[in-house]
Amino acid sequence: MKKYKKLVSAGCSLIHGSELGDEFPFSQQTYPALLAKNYGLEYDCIAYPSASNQGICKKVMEYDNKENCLFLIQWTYPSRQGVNLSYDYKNKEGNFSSWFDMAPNNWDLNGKLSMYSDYTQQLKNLGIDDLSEIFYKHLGNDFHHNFYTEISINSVELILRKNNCDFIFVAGCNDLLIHKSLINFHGQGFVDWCKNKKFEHGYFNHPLHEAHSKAFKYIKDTVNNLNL
Amino acid sequence: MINWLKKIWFKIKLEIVYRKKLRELKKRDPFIYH
Repeated sequence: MKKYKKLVSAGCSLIHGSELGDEFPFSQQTYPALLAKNYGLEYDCIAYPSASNQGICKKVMEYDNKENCLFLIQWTYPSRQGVNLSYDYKNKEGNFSSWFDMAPNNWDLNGKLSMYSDYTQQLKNLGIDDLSEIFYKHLGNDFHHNFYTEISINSVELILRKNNCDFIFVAGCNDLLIHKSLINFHGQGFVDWCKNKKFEHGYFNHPLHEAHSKAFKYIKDTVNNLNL
Repeated sequence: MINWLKKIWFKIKLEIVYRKKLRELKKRDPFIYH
């Protein structure tokens, strides 16, 4: 492997390491973290729970000092849609933000998580529940989702190439298998592969340690064949 | 009158398609957890 300064991972909760127990600020037990450790590289993670592919793209665009970095990006469900609101709201970390990732199963909008009831109320007061409903009612079709995902993937590829960065793009789910440039796990996205292998998962369905350990071995073999 | 009926019919159709698609999308992405 070439001399990289750092491995930077991006993605959604699966790469952030939700439910692995050390996810604040980000887990050191996800397969990208294990890969960095294996190659003796510094590790940084810009993945965040609920990220959309547009959100992942934005995070990579905003990442300073990409020099000598190897990026591992696990793309997420195309049906999530990142948007920049025309106003700020207070996110869960208590910071003001205008970026919001919509999702057809957004637990914050359907009130599934009672621990975030104030946050849910804020989103409802702003009308983000209505925005989400209108969005999925008029634009919730596969062509739209796949089109904007492809734009995100191609944009990140272009940005990384312009910065002379190497990258590993991985399919997080089966919906992404139409994008032939993404690495998959024996023909499956990460989540679907974990499910089929019956790896242990957390209460909120995130694959746990065994899954990341096996994924690390799989990706390591793949990376060795990529001549990075 | 006809336009009014067409508008209502479109809204009903849109609602049916939306609910069906939303069910499918929710099954595909079970993960929104912060």
